[in-house]
Amino acid sequence: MKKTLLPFCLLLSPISYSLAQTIINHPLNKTNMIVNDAEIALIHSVNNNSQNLSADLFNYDPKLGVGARIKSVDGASIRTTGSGSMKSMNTISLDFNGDKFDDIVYAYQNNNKGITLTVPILTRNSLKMTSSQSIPVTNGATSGYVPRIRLGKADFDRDGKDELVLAFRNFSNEKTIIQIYKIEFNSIPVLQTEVANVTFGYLGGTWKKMCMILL
Amino acid sequence: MYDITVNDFDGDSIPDIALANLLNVQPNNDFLIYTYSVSTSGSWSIAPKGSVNAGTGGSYPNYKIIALSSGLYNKAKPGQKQISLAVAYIDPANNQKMKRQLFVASTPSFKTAGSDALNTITVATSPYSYSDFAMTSLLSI
Repeated sequence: MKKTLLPFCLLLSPISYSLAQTIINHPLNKTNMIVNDAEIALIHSVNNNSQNLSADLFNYDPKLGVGARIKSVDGASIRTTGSGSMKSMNTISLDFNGDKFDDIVYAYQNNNKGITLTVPILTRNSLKMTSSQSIPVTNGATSGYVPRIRLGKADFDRDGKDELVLAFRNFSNEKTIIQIYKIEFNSIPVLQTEVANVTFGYLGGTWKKMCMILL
Repeated sequence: MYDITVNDFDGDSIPDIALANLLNVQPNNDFLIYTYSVSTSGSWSIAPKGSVNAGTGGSYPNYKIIALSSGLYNKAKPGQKQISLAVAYIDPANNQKMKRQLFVASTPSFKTAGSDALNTITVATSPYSYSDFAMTSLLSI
């Protein structure tokens, strides 16, 4: 595929997506992987009294009319953060179990009480979220803001399964920490290794209340 | 810490990690890109490999956002995955600017190529306040 670079500014949120994923990894259809539609996962905050963090899943079908191409499939509240100060989250799609279909991982800061990794369990044929697994992040800040949480993925050990990369700034020691997790078939992330960067990270991170990925 | 990107920067078929950070050190508050290698033999480990100064952030709150992306931007060097960095900041002399810089991560230490970016362009000039630059994202396809 031709490589291009497209920096752009969006009105509502930072959005990262891969066009390749929309073709190769298709959760709804195991027998016909090369299809020209996609699913969209959206994680966002809800500005209510409890400051819920919610996830919504959408299906995109280019065969339909323009106004009907994006259809809501499922939505669920992930967590009540309890504080409007919670502002860091990120989400990513990755094939952590090697079944050739992308799964989803959310990372978010709880009510100034550290970072949580959540792996929602999806039913492939309906794209419904049936349950989820969550773990607290080792060395995640236990108080204060975590202005940036970033997720990445790669198959480091080349076993056919993606590992999860988590990077965040630890509030208490002002260091940037990179962690790598394996996610087994029980959907529980298991920390493999981490490194604490010696550099500072400035508190003034950006407001990231909404992230979206294409599956 | 602002953003990460994962790619095989040194061409050894094992993914590496690049991280963009802002040093909270006055007066410049420099932007830096760090590279790390990952070992999965025996106990897993992450090892710092190199860093490059990507520019001056200026004084708070005039800088705002870094977005990282990586990909093969130079077909003449297929073994090197290059890193692109987007920076948005307020230039007091020229209003708000968003810039994109391109670095190459090279072997053997896969530091980025010195302190100078291969390419720097001004992507946009915005009349809005610095907070609007929280919407920056980079995309490689």
